[in-house]
Amino acid sequence: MNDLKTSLRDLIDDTRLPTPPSMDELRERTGRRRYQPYQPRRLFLGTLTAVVVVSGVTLAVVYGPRSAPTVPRSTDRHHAHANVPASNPGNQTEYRQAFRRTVEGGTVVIRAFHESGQTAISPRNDVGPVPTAYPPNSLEADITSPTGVVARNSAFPPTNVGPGQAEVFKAYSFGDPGEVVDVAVIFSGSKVRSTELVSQAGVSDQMTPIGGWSILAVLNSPGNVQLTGTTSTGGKIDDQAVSFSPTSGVPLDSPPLFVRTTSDGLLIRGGEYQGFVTMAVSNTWAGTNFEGIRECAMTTPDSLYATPSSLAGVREGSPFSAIPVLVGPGVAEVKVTWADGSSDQMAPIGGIAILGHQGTSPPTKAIAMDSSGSTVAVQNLQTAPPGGSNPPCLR
Amino acid sequence: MGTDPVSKPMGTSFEDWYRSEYRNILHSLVLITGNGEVAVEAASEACARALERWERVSVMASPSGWTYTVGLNVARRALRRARIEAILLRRPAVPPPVREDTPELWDAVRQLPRQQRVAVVLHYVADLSQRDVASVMGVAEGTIAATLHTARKRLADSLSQTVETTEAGHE
Repeated sequence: MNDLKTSLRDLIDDTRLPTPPSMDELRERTGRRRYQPYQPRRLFLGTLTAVVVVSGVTLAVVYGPRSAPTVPRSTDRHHAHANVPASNPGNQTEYRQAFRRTVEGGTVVIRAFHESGQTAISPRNDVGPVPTAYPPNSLEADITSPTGVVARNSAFPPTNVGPGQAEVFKAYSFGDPGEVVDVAVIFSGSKVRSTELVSQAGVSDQMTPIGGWSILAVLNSPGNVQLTGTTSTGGKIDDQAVSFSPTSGVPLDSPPLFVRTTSDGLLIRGGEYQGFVTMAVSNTWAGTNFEGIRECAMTTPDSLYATPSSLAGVREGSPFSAIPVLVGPGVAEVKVTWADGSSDQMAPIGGIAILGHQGTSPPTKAIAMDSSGSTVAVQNLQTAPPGGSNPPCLR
Repeated sequence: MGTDPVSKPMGTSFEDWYRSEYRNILHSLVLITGNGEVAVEAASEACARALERWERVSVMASPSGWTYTVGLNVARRALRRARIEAILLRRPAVPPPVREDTPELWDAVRQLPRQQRVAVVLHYVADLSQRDVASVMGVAEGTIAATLHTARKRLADSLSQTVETTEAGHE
């Protein structure tokens, strides 16, 4: 092989190769592709677009907003029921409102709260933490009946239930005869999407659990009540018969002397029980029971005795105060004023009046008036009651 | 090293260039790929693309070099496809269109490493200068010289003969 070039060229057997494509065949091949050569204008626009995009990304990275602090992902996989309003926007404390809902046309109000898990809050009408620890996601609740009875629950700790199961934590009845509220506090698993109480009388209440919790109530529904519900997979939780026990301790439904609503929306229920004036007071976001003051008959016609109570609803972000007053038989109207200039007044019933006001403003004066509207007695509420903690009739 | 103006058809039409270059392109691709079908397809495709871009390609320093680059790329992809098809469809291997009277030379070429085979074919069959071969293969010109030297030595060893190349027409 003297000439590599010749040898290599001669190596190919042309007879076994097809004839070269004609020009028409080549053109046909190019026509199928519709090749479009680069155009300066398109090239310029493409380059410009790339420059703009790269510049934008660079500017966004350099001058863009810093990433927001990582918010701990909620482990709450439940969703609020459409009928559950938002939590009280004014509540800035660590006492977290889980949900608030109303049943029976708004006559029964259910307010549920989560404990902080660090400091316990109960009783809620105290200002400041109480050194009792509750597990995280524990639930407190208060429920107001149509006649102003406030039932309060201490904190319930969450429990272990199966993903598609629900457990009745507590079921009780309260309220005045004829307006009995049956309440069930339920904790359910993460797959439970709906819990429902169904009474024999056909009354039902339903909600989507929030943080696993749901509180259901039915009004005036004697007979069997069943707990039922659905899961996220479309299944049903096991139906359970719910039995409601009466509330223990001081009967909440002790006969009321009066139920009134103040001009600023505070619902006050006044009553007597074993020598004490009892009070149940609630507003939109908070409700509580006050022990009240010892009761006795004031024999002096123009006598006046008032004891300021402590604030309630502070942790719920909706504070209020209520003042029980004992008056003599000659007093036709009682008025209490607060430092912010507001006042509340009522005609005493059975020698008892309870005045209330929403807000943290302290009460200043209690004023007793006779039937002609003349002031017959005044008590300064910014100092301790004269004569001590007992009304004059008990001294 | 001098450059060869043979592949610089300034002012020539595509048709003239095509008629003079197609066979070289096809032969080169047959020798490089060892597959007649792939070579025919790659050569036709490369020439078709040259036709589409002839306005731009014709003014290049080496239109043939550009066409070889395209042809080699097309052939590489086609060979990959052909290998997969041969495995999946169990297609029998088609013998390359080489003369049967010189099997030892074909064996020697086939045994060259790909880089050396491409360099030898582009230089001796396609008639590209070493600079154009370097451009087509994307390596330095000096690398091509060394590659060609090694390839010649290897071919000579394979054929048990001393390959006397005539560099005059190429260098």
